Formats: sequence, structure tokens, C-alpha cells
Amino acid sequence: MRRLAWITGGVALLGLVLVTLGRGHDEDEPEHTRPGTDSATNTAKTAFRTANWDIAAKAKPTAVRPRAPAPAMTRLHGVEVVGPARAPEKHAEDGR
Amino acid sequence: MNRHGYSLVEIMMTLAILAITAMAIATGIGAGHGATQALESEVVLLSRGQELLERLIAVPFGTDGDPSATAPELSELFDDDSKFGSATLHKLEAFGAAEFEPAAFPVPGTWRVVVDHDLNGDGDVNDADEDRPDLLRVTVSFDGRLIAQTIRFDADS
Repeated sequence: MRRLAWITGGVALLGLVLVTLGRGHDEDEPEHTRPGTDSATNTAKTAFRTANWDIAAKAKPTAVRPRAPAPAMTRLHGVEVVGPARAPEKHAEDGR
Repeated sequence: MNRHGYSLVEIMMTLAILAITAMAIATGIGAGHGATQALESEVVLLSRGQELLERLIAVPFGTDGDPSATAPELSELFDDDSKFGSATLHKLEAFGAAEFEPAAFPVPGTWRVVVDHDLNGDGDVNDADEDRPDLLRVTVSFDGRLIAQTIRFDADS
């Protein structure tokens, strides 16, 4: 009889533990541990997680900045113009 | 042979009875817990909806043709403090549907506040009195579910 009492008590205790664990997350979590609240004052730091007016404000087109004019090309790559071009035959006549 | 003990069958039967009993208790506790949470959410929703409606009753009516409410005005009106800012009903009407999710609100979901001329809620503004600038309908809903609604009359007009 005593052994049956031990078995019954053990199983009941096990059931109690399982039921307690099965209840899961406690909703009575302190307010200051939730995101978006100030732990010092326990008041709302930011009023909204999302708000469509914030989205609308962010979606406003920003002013178009005028593009700076491309710098005028003053010289060709690899060619430096220092004066009037000389004819190549002139060099030949100089004997170079 | 020792005959004072219990057989395996007796122990198994005891365990089965206890398991069934424990399952029934656990199910009952779980159901009660769920019902309590649902009721708490309902109370929180109705309370917050009523509070939002009271804010919309307290703000000035404004005049037809007011510019749309700005983002700071809407934030000031719908945030947690007791300041309502400079928003008016006509500014809200010009903005359209204001949708927001409060930061420290225990129930996940989106509030939707609409101020319009659709007094009977049939989706158009062609019916009687719906062209009057001194009558506006205010609707507060949460995740598509209507929480609170009223029609405001501009007594100063």
C-alpha cells in the first residue's frame, strides 16, 4: 500500500511539473523590459513601431540637385598641343 | 513467494488513470489561460479604441479646405501623452486613413483611424448630408475590425 502511495505521489508530482512547464511564457513581464520603452521612466520612448505618415514623409521626393556640368575637354588624351603643328617633312629637311 | 506487492498490471492501470487525469487538468488550465488572455486583449483593445475616439472628439473641427495633417501632427495626436497638438478633424480628413502600431501596445496589430464624409459608411459620399462640411464621420478600427465610430457635428459653423 505504501508503495502505491509513493508511485501515485511521484506521478502526480511529475504531472504538476509538466503542467507548470507547459504553461509557457509568462505574460506578466515587466513593462520596462519590453522593446520601445525607457527603463528609467517606464514610459514610451518611441510612440509607434510603424506609422504610415512616417512612411509617407520618408517617401517624399527630395529636391533634385542640379547636376554639375561635365568639365570641358581641353586636351586629348596623350596629345599635348603646345603650338602650331609642324609638318613632318620639315624635320626631314633638317636632317634629323 | 512474496504476495504482498502489486503486479505490473496494477501499476500500469494506476499510471494510465493518473495520466488521463493530469491531461484533463492540463487541458482545462490551458483553455482557461487562453480565454483569460483573449478577454484581456479585448478589454485592452476596447479601452484604447475608446481613448482614441475621445481624442478625435476633443480635437478642433477645423475648416473645410484645411491642409493635410503632417507627420508630427499625427504623431502628437496618436501618441501616449495627453497632448493633442494642432491637428484638426479636417486635416485628418485631408490626410486619409492614418495607420499606426503603438510601440508599447500589448496586442500586435495595426490601428486605423479614418475621418471622412461617408456618414452612412456605404463607401460613397453621394447620400444625404454627406456634402456638408460640418459633419464628419470618425472610425477607429484595429486589424480591420471596427472598434469605435461616431459622427461629429461642427457646432460653431
